[in-house]
Amino acid sequence: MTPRLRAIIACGALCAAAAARCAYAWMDSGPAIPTVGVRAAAHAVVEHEAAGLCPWRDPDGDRERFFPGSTSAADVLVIATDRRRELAAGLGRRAGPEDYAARVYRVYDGSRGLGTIVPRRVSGQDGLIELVLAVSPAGRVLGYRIQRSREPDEIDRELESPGWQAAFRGRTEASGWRLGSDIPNVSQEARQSAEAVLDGAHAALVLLSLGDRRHV
Amino acid sequence: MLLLAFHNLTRRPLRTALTLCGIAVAVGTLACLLALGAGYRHGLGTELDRMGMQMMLVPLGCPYDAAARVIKGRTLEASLPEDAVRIARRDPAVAIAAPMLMAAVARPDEGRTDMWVGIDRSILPLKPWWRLTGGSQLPGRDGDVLLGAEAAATELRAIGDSLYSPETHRCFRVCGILERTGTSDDSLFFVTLHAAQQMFHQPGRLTAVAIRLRDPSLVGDASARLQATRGAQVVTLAEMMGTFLNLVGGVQTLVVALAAIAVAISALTVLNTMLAAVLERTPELAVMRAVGATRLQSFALLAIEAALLGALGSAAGLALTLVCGRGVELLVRGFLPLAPDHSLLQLGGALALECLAAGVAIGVAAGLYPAWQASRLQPALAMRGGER
Repeated sequence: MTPRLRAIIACGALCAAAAARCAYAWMDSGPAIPTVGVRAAAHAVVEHEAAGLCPWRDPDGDRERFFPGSTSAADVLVIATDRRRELAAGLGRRAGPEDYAARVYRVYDGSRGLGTIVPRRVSGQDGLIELVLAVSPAGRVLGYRIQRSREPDEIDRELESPGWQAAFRGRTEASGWRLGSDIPNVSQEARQSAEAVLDGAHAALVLLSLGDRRHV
Repeated sequence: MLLLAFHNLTRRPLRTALTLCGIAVAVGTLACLLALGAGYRHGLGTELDRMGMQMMLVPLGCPYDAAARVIKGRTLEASLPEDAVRIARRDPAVAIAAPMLMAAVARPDEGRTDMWVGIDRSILPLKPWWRLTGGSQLPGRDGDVLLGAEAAATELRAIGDSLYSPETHRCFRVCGILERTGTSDDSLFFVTLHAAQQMFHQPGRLTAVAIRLRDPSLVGDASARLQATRGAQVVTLAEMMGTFLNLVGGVQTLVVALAAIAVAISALTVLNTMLAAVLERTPELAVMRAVGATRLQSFALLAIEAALLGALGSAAGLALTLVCGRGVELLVRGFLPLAPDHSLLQLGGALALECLAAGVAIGVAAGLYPAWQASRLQPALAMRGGER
């Protein structure tokens, strides 16, 4: 084989290899898998399939309701996957998939921060309850709203009663959250859902306080 | 002689390389199209086979629209009488007739629609991809609900939990959760047929009847008999598949015609290359004949060279298919109806051998004339540079 032929074959092989590499890179391109999700999956105790993070369905209405005069909101992903022990200690129980991460919304009036909205999914007696919790910059509850629920009307009425809602205001993650002592009791039919809402609100505050130091 | 033929090809490497490129592109295009076509037919057939049914009874209207809606888990605007499933079950060709009632409950404030499906146990053989999670059962009582994987995850439900339907004021117990199937079933709520009929005020009505036959070859006869069912019409999945394949077939015919033109051009390239080779090597071929090579040996030498060109070019074309085929698939996928999710490129051994054989055949066919010319050389005349 002549040197020229060897050179041609070598060039051809290099070109083919380069083309194959480009083709592979093009076919394999796509959004990278976020490592956050991998850490969460590694640490979370998955009892069932986890759905996506809870969406915020009425941003304008909630901003007007909890932060009148606010001009904007910016979403922040709060993650506490590497704070398992503190999370469990703050919650008073083992953390579940919903406890490790949340997409929260910092509410602003111009550049002044007014507080945070935390959408949170909890398991009610008869289905999913989506909770929207408004929190002050000091970590105190300003109020909440149930943005989605499958509960019968009578349970919904109890969970959204002004008296029951008023009991949430001013509470922090360090406050007591026991139904019947710290928070007014509800009927037996509504008890399971009420406890879920209380636990969800408390867990949201714990995550907000722990995850603040590590948000993306 | 093979080594000699290979050595002859390497004497003009650039010319040989360009000829090989031409053959590679032509064979690669052909292989790519055939592989995609085979993959699409196979994938579509597999998807429809996986449905476990060969035909459906749907309400009168556009049958393909109705069938596509049912397959994708969407409701229909009309309904069937429940009698249709009894008629279907009495047909001698029918092995399984599974009734379904599908209803949508819109929740615009929450940006979702709950899909409820009333079924009975006969649906199970027609859902071979269903896997129940541990402890799950099909809904046996009107108060039971079986949740798709996505539905259970969204509602944070486990087996034994309660599920309330605010719009219909009915409470259910979660009797089972399906493992994720990757189909629209993941988002559905399955209840008994009677419960669905009561919830949505459709007593004695159905959305569709899914049918599996005892023998798929009886589809024609069964279809003709069931077509007479009042208020219903028959859609066979083979018809659906045929319709989709017809749509694709027309395009494929055109593209294969273009590939055939590329193949013809590559054959002409081989002819040109071989003729040039014969012209260049006339004195050499004359010397071979003079020292005792027969006409047949001269012919065979050139024919083998042409066959080698075809074989090497085809091999390069197949390699090109493997490298670029995925990109071509991504380009055409958008134009294929009901394209399966997995890769369509099915370049099996048989197809690769066919393309390789085609390449060799092109080379040999194109090289026949030059080889014949070479075999007709008069040694003395050729060495003198005179006429042949």
